[in-house]
Amino acid sequence: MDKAFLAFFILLLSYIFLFAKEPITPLPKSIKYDKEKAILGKYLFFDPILSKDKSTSCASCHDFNHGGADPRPVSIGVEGKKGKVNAPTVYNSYFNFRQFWNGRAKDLKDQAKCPIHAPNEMAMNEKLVEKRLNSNTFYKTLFKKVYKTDKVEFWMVLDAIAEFEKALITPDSKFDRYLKGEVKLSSLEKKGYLLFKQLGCITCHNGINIGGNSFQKIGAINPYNKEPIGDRFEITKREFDRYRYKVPSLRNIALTAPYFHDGSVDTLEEAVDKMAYHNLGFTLSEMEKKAIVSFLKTLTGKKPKILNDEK
Amino acid sequence: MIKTNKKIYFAAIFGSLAILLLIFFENFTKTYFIQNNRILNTIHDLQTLEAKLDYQILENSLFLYKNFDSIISTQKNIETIFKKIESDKHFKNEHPSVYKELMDYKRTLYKKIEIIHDFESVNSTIKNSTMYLSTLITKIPEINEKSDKLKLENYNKLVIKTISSIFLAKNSFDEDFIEEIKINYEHLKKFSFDKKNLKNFHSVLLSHLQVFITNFPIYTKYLNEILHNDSKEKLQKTLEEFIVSADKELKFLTLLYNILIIFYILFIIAILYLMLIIDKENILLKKAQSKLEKMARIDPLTKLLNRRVLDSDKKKLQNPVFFIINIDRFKHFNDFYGINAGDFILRYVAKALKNIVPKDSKAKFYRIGGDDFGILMEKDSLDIEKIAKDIIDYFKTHTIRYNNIDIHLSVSIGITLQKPLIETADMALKYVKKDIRRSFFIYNSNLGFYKKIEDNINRAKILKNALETDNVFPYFQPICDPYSNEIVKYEVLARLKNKNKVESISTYLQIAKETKMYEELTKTIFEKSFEYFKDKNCHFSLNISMEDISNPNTLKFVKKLFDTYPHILQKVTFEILESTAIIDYNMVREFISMVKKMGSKIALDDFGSGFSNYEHILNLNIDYIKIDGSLIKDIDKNTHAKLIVKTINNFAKEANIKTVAEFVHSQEVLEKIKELNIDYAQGFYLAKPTPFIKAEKCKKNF
Repeated sequence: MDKAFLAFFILLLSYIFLFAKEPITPLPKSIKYDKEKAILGKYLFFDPILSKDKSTSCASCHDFNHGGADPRPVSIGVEGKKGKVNAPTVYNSYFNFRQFWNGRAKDLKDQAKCPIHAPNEMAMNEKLVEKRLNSNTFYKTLFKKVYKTDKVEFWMVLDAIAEFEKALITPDSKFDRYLKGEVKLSSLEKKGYLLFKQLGCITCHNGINIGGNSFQKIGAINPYNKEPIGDRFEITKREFDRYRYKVPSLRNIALTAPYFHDGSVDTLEEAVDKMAYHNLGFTLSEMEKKAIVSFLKTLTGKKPKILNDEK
Repeated sequence: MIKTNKKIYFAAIFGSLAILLLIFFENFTKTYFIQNNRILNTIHDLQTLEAKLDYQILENSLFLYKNFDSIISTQKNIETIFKKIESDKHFKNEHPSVYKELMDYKRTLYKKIEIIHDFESVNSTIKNSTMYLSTLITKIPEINEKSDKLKLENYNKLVIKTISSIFLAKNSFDEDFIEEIKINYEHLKKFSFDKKNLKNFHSVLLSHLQVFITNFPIYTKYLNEILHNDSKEKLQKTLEEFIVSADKELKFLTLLYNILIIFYILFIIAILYLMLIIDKENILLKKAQSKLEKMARIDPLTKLLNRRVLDSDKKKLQNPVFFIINIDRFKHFNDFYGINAGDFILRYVAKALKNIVPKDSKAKFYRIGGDDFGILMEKDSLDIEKIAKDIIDYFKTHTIRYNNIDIHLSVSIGITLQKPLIETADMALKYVKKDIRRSFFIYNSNLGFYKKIEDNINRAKILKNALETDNVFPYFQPICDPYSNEIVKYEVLARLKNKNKVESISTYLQIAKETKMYEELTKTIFEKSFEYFKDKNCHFSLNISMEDISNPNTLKFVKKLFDTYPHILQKVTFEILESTAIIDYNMVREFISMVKKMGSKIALDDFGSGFSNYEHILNLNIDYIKIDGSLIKDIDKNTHAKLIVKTINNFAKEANIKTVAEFVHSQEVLEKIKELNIDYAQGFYLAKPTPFIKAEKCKKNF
C-alpha cells in the first residue's frame, strides 16, 4: 500500500515537471492598426445603416459597456427577430483562432459578413450596403480617404470593421500585470489560478485569450442536458461535433453575463459550477468556487483606447 | 577587304550583342536562382512548419496543459505560406505539376489540421480525466469500519491499479492497456456503497473511467493520424518533383550557356580573322619590303645578284670557288651595235651562265659590274675546269641573234680558290686577257699576281717619293764606235734612288704610265740631261715614248727646253720606242719634223722586237736604228738572230740609216757586231752607265 503510494507520487512528480511554461500569455499593451481605417470601421460598427430597416448596428449586440458582448441571452436583430445564440464579446476577438461559437468564420472580415447578411440580424445584401454608402457623402469622403476611391465596395466595409475590431483589445488586466510581474494577486486569486490549472480548466482555457484557440465539447464528462444550438455539427454534420463549440475567451468574463453559448447561465459562480460538473466531472467546494471566481475577475482589462477617442 | 571603320562598327555591334546576351543570361540566371531558391525555401519552410506542428502536438499530448496558441500560430504561418504560393505566378506557370502537387499537399495538410482540432478536444478530455483521477487518489476512502475492511481494501487496490494503468496507457499511447482498464472498470462497477461520500467517490471514478475508456482509442487514433500522416511524404515527393522540374529549367539555362559559349567562340574567331587580315596586310607590307630589299640585292638588268650581295655571300662559304667571267670585246659590241644590244648580250650571258653551271652545284650568280659576271659556289667535288670549259665552249658553239644580226661572243674566265676571292679571280682574269692562247685561268699564288699588285703600289709610292725628293736623275751610258773605240754619244738612262740604292727606272715605268707620273718623270730627266750637257761638247740621246709624243704637256715642255738650250740641239738624239705599236703616225711624224728642224736626230729604239715596219721607217725620216737587245745578246750563237740583224743592218745601210747594237755584253758579241758591220755598239762590255761622264774612250783595252 505504502509502496504503491510512493510509486504514484513519483509518477505524479514526473507529471508536475511537465507544467513547463505559463499557459496564459498577457495581451500586448497596444496593437498596430491603420487608424483612419479603424475609425471608419468604428463609424460603420455603430451605424444601423448597415441593417435593412436601419434599426440594428453591430454595436446593438456587442455592447461595449457590457464587455463587448450582448447582455441578452440571445441577440435581437431587425424587426425584432431573435437570434439563436448569445453574442460573444468583440473584445480581443482578433486573437481568436476562429470566429463564432462554432468557428465558421476564419477571421474578423469573414465574420463581419455574416451578421450583415443574416436575415434575423441585419438582413442586408452587398449591393444594398454599397448603394447606401455610395449615396452617403459622409462615408464617401471617409472611404475615399482610406481606400483612395470614389466607389465604396462591400469588401472595404468588412475590411474597415475588421480593422476597428482589431483595435478592440483590453490590456492591463490585473492578471496580465501579474504575469508581467507588475502586481501581486491576492491569496484567494492566486489559489483560484492554481485550482484553474490543477483542476484542468487550463487544458482548454489557455493562450492569450484564455480560450478561443480550440474546439471543445460541452459535457465531455457529464453530458450537457440542453439542446445543442449552433454547434459545429451544424457545419460539419459529424456526430463527433455534437455539442462542440469554440472555447470562449475568459477575458472580461466578469462583464459578459449571461454565459454559455445559449446564454443560459446568469452568474459566474453558476457557470464555473456547471463547467466543473459537465466538463471535469465533479462538483467544486464552495471555497474552490469562490477562489476560481475571484481569479476570473482579475481577467477584466482596460476598455480599448479607440472607444475613448473622438468619434 | 572590309574597310577599317566598318570593321569597327561590326565589332561594336557584335560586342553589344554579346553584352546584351550576357546581361540576359545574367538576369535569367539570377531570376532562376532567386525564384527557385524561393520555392525551395518555401517547401523547406513547409517541411519545418509541419515538423514543428508535429512536435507541438506531441508536446500537447505529453504536457498536462499547453498553450494552444503556439499551434494556432504555426497553422497561421502555414496559411501565410500557402497564400504566398498561390500568388506566385512564376511557380504556377513554370512548375505547374509541382504546383498541383503542392496544392494536393495543402489539402492533406489542412485535413491534418482539422484532425488536430479534433484531437485537441479529445486530448483535453483525456487529460482532464487523467488529471482528475490523479487528484481523486488523494480522496480514497478511509478504512474505519471493520465489517467493510476487506471489501474496501480490495476496492482501494483495484482503484490504484486502474489509475496507474491509466497513467501507463496515457504515457505510452498504448491501447493495449485499455483492455485491462476495461476489466478493472467492470470489476469496479460491481462495487456499490451506501455511505454518501463513498458513493459519490465511486460514481465520479466510474464516470471518469468511462470517459477515458471511450476517448482513449479516439485519442490514439487521432494522434496516429496526425503523426503518421502521409502529408510529409507528399511534401518530400513535391520537393523531389520540383528539383526535377527546376532541372528542366536548368536545361534551358544550359542551352543559353552553350549559346553564350558559341558566341564567345565566334567572337574569338572574329578576332582571329581580324588579326589574320592585319597579318595579311603585314605580309603584303613585308613583300613590298622584301621587293625593295631584292632591288637592293639584285641587278635589275640581268636579275642576278649584285656585288653587294657577293661581298656578304662569299663570307658564308667554307671552300669557295669564284669565277669571274668577262665578255671579250664587250665595249666593241656596245659601241658597234648600241647600248640595247649590249644590254641584250648581258642578259643573254646571265641566262646562259645559269644554264651551263650544273644545278646541283648550288652556285650563285652575280653581276659584278659592267661586263663582269661572278659565279660563287662551294668547292666540294666540283670539276672546276670542266665548268670553265663548258662555259667557253657554250659561247663558241652558240651565236646570239639580235635584230637579225648574228653576234659571236667569247668570254674570258678568271677562277680562284683563294681569298681574297674577287681580287685573285680578277688577277687570273687579267692574266687570261694578256695571254691570247688562254681563255680561262685558275689563280695560283705562285704567280704572284697579288704580290705584283703590292709591288706596283710600292713602286708607285717609291716613284712618287723619289720625284718629290729630287731622287730621280739621269745616268749616262756611252755608245761607241766599235772600230775606233771612240765614244760617239751617251744614252741617257733614268735612275732612281731608293733607300740609298740607285735603281733602274725600268721597273717603275709601267706604274708611272698608269699613275700619270710618267709626264713628270720625262720632264725631270729631260731637264736634268739638258742642264748636264749644256756646257759639254758631247752628243746624247733621250728616250721618248708614244705617251710623251701624244702628251701635249710634254711636247710643250720639250719646246721650252729647245728654247732654253738652243746651242746643244744639234747634239740631241730622240730615241722613239718601237716596242709598242706606233698608233698615230701623224703625231710621230709631226714630232720628228719638229725635232729635225732644230737639228736634232731621231733614233728608233728596240727595233726588231715588236711590230717592226720597214715602210714606216722610210716614211719617218729616221737617223738611227737601235737593234733590239734580245736579238743582239746571243747573236754569237743564234744564227736566226744573226740573220735578222744582218737584214736590218743591210736595209739600214740602203736607207742611209746608221745602226746601233744594244746589249753588247761580251767580246764574242762585239766581234759579231764588227763582222756584220754595224755602225755603233752599246753595252756593259763596252761601258756601264755612270752618273758622270768620265772616260773618253769606250774600252781602254780596245
